[in-house]
Amino acid sequence: MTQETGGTPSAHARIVLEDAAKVFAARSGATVAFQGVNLSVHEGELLCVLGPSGCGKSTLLNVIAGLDRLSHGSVTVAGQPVESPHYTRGMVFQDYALFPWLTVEGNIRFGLDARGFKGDKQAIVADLVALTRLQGFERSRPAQLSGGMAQRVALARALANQVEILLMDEPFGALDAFTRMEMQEEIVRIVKAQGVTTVFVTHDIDEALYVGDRVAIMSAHPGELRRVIPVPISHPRDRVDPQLVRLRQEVFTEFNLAHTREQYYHI
Amino acid sequence: MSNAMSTGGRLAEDVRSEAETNSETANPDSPPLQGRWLARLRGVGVPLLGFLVILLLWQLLTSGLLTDSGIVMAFQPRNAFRELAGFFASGVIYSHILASLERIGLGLALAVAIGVPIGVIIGHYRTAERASSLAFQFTRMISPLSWMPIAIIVFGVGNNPVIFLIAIASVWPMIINTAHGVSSLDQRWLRAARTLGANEWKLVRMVILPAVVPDMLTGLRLAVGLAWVILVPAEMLGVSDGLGYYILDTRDRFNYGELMAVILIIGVIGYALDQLIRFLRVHVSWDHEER
Ligand SMILES: Nc1ncnc2c1ncn2[C@@H]1O[C@H](COP(=O)(O)OP(=O)(O)OP(=O)(O)O)[C@@H](O)[C@H]1O
Ligand SMILES: [Mg+2]
Repeated sequence: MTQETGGTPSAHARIVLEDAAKVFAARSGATVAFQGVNLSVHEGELLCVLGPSGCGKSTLLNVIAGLDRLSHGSVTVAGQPVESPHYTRGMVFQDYALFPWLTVEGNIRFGLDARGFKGDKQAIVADLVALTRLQGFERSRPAQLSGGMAQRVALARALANQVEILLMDEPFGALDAFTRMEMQEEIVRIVKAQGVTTVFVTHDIDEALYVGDRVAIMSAHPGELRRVIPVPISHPRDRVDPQLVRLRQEVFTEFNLAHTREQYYHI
Repeated sequence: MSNAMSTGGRLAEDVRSEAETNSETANPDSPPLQGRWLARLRGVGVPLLGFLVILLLWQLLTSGLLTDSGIVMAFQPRNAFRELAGFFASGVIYSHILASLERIGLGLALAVAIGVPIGVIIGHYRTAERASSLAFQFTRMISPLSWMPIAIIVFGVGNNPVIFLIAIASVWPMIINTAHGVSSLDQRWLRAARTLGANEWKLVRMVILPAVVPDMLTGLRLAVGLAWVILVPAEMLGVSDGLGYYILDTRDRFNYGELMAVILIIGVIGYALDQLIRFLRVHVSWDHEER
């Protein structure tokens, strides 16, 4: 693939994947989650990874988080190879993965407690509660929260560690359309306010174009990075911005092309 | 393992069905006031009826209808209840109850202290589970009372062998239920905790242990049941107080009314202990909201 995929590491690159591949070996044979991925995520950028189910998006995030190891190639953060999870790389999971035995506050404070953080935890938690608009729910249990609220807690929990990198795996997949749009605005506001470098995984084209500074498009079987589309529109964005509509067209074409080519073979 | 586990599972269902019954009575759609009272009356009345039948049988069997043996007639409920009242009037029974409860408490504490860490290790590491399963299945099926002679040789006569026997009886449900809880733990919690900066030890302390509290309480409920059953025979050897000892004492004094009174006390305390753990399981455990 000769297309420019943002693979050339620049001075501003925070996360760099070079010729990255992940293969899961199983008794029934190996599964290639993704291969040949060259990708740089810039400092302070909100990069969306867009692709169909099974193209290796979650695996990609796990690799950057340090939860999974690459089979081939390299992944570095600020020049350092990623070898294990680190609290400066926060993760927001699709299904929240909140700790049900802790309150909202307890969940947000978890990282600080786990690291034995010595500063004013209460102040940090209070700030995050305000930032994610969770006031009044500090003492609630995860089971009592709506999906949108639970996702805010998961976000606040990750941010409490003063993360440099935020990894979000289809964070709004389980939300209804309205809560989803509301949360998309929130996430942009929060991430930009914190200045964290963010990788946001989604399979929703509109979502990717609405929140992303750039959109990395992946295809499935095998998982590959097709191209990275910049979205040069400032936030807050208008959902029916003509430029956005044009980009949408472009993304559709990108996915349709792959589709048409296959169809020719079938006919 | 599967045997004890299914018992554990049954307990959990028990708790669940109880919660369902409660929500049923609270449901505004269910029968009008009168019907609800009837339902509640039936809820209390039926078990009470069963209890009365037992009392009646007890009375029948000891009333001289079947045999006119004086010994049998000495076991009559009326004697038992008279002696029961006497116990509390004179206060002799309190020190025995206390002694028994103390042994139960120490034995269970030991079982928890030993069983929970072992359960965590077995649940966490597959190899540990594979390595221990045969040994555990084997040891678990040996009646704790078979250890009695060894216990007395090792710990001497007195409190310690009794506590040891209680611990050995109740450690299995603690191990098995804790291990089951750990091995069926939601892996996402562990991954989330690791990205949040938790090391191995913090994973255990901050995720695994709190996550398996419900399983540990299920184990504790089984453990308490076993411990209370083992206590009485264990106290029949080498100690000079406790309810088990006192049963033999009443027999030696040919006071069969008192003997039956002690049996009643054993039953009531056992029931109370079980209800206590059951209460904890439903109201303290974090997962009660989902049940
Ligand atoms: N632990 C694993 N063991 C084996 N195969 C795996 C494992 N995790 C993922 N895979 C495989 O790797 C491929 C990519 O999975 P991944 O979960 O990363 O996709 P995804 O893009 O996140 O999909 P979705 O949108 O459905 O979440 C899939 O074919 C999946 O079956
Ligand atoms: Mg995924």
